[in-house]
Amino acid sequence: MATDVSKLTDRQLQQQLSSKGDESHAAFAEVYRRYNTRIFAYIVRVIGDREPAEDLFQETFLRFYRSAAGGREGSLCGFLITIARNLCLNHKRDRKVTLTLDAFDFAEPQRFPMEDREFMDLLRRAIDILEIDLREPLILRVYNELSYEEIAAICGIAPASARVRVLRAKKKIRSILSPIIKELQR
Amino acid sequence: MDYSQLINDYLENQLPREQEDYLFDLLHDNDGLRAELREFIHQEAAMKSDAMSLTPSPASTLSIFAQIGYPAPGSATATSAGLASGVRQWIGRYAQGLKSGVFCSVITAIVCLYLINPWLNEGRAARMAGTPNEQNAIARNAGGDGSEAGTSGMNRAATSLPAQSSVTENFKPAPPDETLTNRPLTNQPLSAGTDENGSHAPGLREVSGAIEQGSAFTRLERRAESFGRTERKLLYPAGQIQPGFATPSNQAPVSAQRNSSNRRLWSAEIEAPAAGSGIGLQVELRGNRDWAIPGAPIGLSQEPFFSHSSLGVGILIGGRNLLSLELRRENFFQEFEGVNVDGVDVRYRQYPSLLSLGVAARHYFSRPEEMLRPFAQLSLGANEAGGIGRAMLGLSLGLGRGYDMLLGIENSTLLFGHDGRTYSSSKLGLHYGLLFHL
Repeated sequence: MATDVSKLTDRQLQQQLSSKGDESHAAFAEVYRRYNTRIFAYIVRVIGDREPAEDLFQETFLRFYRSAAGGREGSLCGFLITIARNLCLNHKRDRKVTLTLDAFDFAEPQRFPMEDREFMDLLRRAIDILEIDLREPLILRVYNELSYEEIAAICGIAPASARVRVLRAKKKIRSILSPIIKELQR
Repeated sequence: MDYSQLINDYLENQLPREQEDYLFDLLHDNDGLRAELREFIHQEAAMKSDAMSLTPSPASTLSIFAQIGYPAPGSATATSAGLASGVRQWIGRYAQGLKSGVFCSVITAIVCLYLINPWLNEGRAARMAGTPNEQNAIARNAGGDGSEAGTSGMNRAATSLPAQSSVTENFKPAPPDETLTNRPLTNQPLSAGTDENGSHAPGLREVSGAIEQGSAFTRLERRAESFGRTERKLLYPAGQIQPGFATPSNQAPVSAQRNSSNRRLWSAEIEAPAAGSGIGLQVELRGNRDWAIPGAPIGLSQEPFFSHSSLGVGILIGGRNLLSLELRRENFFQEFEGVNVDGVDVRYRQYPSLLSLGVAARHYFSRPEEMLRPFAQLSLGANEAGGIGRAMLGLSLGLGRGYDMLLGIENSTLLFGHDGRTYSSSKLGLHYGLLFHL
């Protein structure tokens, strides 16, 4: 009788991935179902561009599949994020694009209430202009819902630093969006 | 203590109970802090909403599973909430594109309805009612204006009119704005060289003997000069006139129509302009099929090797505008008046294959990252016969990186002249194709 993979823990899925045939396929499909949106969100927000993000996203899961066949232990989400992170860093290193605050006219508050869609666009742009050291912990915390310990492990920093960076990132974004939020709340 | 840290910890459910009370006390007394809390809440909600909206494209999912050799799960892109959640996410993600698409489709449908619905085109329907298809000769002002332009292979009326003078007595020259089909038509017998529709039969020559395929134009011009008349050429070189004119399909009944010829639906295209990189190559393949209009149009005047095809190069400007050069091989139905070698007014019909060159400007109504991108396109161009204007409304569907599918409706109008008169011919096409981003 086939196992209901949706009830398996990450660790059990990891073990099943090491097997062959349909079981491995089912396990991979379940991992994909659980984490595809989180990984994609992470890549898109770190890279800031959807088109290369699709490629990196595919590469992340392909590398995960090849690595998982070797029977690696540990958090699946963390493992996927680590793969995605390495790919993103390589991508950013190969294609250095710097967005400066000067290029983003946020100081002038909107005269009229903005549509939600416009607000979301502004939020994305505010995230894009954050330094990577702040942006990444923020994304891992808010978009991927990881603990500060997990964020620290992935970013190679102390949990306390992760906490501080997330807060600093949020405050920076707030300083950008504050005039607009006030306008929206009127 | 950093108040922002307190608020953040509170929103993350990580604030100890005693500090929570402390925060509430602060909030009670401090308007600024309450405003900050509201802003944090708004910001958190926005980021959560943004996170929910980010899902990989179906193409990515398919690609991953294809590369590892497994069939893709049907709901792979949906989160754990199942199909309903997946559908909601999909709708949320493409809501803007869907709205634009619906709007574009409605406008397109209205345009189509106007163009093809005979109820909305009563004038045309009235002109066509009761008009005999076979009659192409216009018995008026025989040899009057002296113009003698002719083309070999044109769909030609009977050129030999017995008792022509008695026939012409019944007719007066039509006013300039009168359409062809409003004029009374003769019932003269067909000549030996024509079929029952007035078309030139294969292998036969016109009774007049003055026209042979391939050489008629030159000879007619010379003859016009010899009579000292003002020469008015058809804007269509003789060498282009269809050698295979007298095909069986050409012998189908021809509906009498006004100057503006029949419309046809169903064009196909494959094109490849740039989207992300700025410059790209367009390759188009097109096909036409007659739309349901009263009376069958004449068949193709010639069967070119590669008809209804085009090639173009496009440059993307700012992600939303595409400027491209187009080279098309296409068919246009033409109907116009002329005077044959015997001085008889005749109405010509032909359906030649033309080589058109044009410039097209396309504007997308949504951003490049949207999956569904409605667009409008205007084109101006020219071919051997005259000038062409086109307008298209369509949708672009992103199939993955580097590939889009296009679907649209395009109306093309050809303006051409003959004997000092200007005529128009329009066609309506369903435009579809593939777009490759280079």
